[in-house]
Amino acid sequence: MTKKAVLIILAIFCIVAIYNLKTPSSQTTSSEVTDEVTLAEEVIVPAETSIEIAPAAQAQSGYSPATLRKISVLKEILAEKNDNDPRMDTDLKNLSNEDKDALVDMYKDLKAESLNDKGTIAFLIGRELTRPEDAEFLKNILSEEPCLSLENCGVTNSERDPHMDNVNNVTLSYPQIVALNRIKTFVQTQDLQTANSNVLNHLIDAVKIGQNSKIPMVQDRSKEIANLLTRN
Amino acid sequence: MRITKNYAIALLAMLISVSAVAVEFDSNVPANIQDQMKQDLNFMNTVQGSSQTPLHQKIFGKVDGASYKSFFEDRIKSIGKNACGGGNAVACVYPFLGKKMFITDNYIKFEHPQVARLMVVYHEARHTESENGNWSHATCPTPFLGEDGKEIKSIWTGATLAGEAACDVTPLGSYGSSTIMIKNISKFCDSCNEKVKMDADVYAQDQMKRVIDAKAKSDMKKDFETSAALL
Repeated sequence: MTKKAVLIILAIFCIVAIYNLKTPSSQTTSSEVTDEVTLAEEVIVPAETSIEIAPAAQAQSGYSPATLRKISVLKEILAEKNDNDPRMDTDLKNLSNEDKDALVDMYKDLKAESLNDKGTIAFLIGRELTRPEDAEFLKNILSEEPCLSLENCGVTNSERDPHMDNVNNVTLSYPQIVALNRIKTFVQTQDLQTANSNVLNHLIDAVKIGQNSKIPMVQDRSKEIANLLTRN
Repeated sequence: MRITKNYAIALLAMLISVSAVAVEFDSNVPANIQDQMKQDLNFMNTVQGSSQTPLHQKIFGKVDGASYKSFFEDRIKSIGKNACGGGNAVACVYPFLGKKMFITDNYIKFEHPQVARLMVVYHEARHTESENGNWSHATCPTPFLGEDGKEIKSIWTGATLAGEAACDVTPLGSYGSSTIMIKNISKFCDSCNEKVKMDADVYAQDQMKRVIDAKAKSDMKKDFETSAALL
């Protein structure tokens, strides 16, 4: 697609957005409803990345401006909680070794309850599993202490929601589930005979750790991958 | 300037969402919860898919924003805030209140991926169908065993689902339909990035366990292997 075509699309977008802002929405009928919100007014347009990196921040971190820019993009995406940001598949692809190291550092700084953020980093590194360090990172995620409750990973929450507990349970182990998902993809798509043996060894260890997890769904998914590995 | 196909699709999808409709929130819904839910629903309104399974076609229509928007807005007219029985609940509906949904602080307090939040919201929307008995849940069997033959229970509290009204015996109920929705997003969404498609697959795999009837489960598995475009 050409630059011109994209500019035309953006121009149309702006015109329609302005029209929408000027057009009143349907009237509220319920007396208890006081806020009416037009969904489309707050659509976030993922602009081409133009994040400025302060020289001080660069010096402090030791990472290059290109890497810091990627980290800034990711932080922006995570803060917006818009998982479908297309920059995930553009700006945050083809990661350099330095990018991955910076992501691992970022992961370590996240609080335990930031489960979606942690899983997102596991996804980004696991999507481009090339180095032994990448595989070791996934292995370390499988070795983490289980998160006991969404509110506070260190404390069990006895309150329940039987109706949707399954969603909560997946989220509690989301970083581990993502790590296993990436390992499974690697096992299914790579020629294991020619794969880097150091990478493979870390992944095999990760699967073994998962099989001994206290969390049944982590165990189940690890067993599934172990079976795939046996077949290969 | 190099623009990928997916990037262009996402831009176009956002363009389409500009003509989205209004959703009404009660005044007691905090702005940050409203913002998150609007963003989540906007995402659904922008979905563009290449195909769908027969069960998805039957319940939602095509894998696209217009279908999901209609589905949601036909069932939910306003959104309020409520504890939904407390605990870890994220959202709920009460059959006697018609097309009204409630969300809790957990909607933003807990770190669920976007697809997980939407699965809950669409699950609840299905429950407003009074003409279908609100798709009341079936009672989970006692004991409620997983595919490995072990009882399904919380590893931290030991609580089980046995005897709870938290299962389905049809693919068309709230658990089944929301599973079918996200499974189709995982398989066919062209405007979704890779993470969202992975999330959709991950959460669908687990939600499927709530469908306890063997035939219903088998029908869903077969459905996921079929593309309506090929029929």
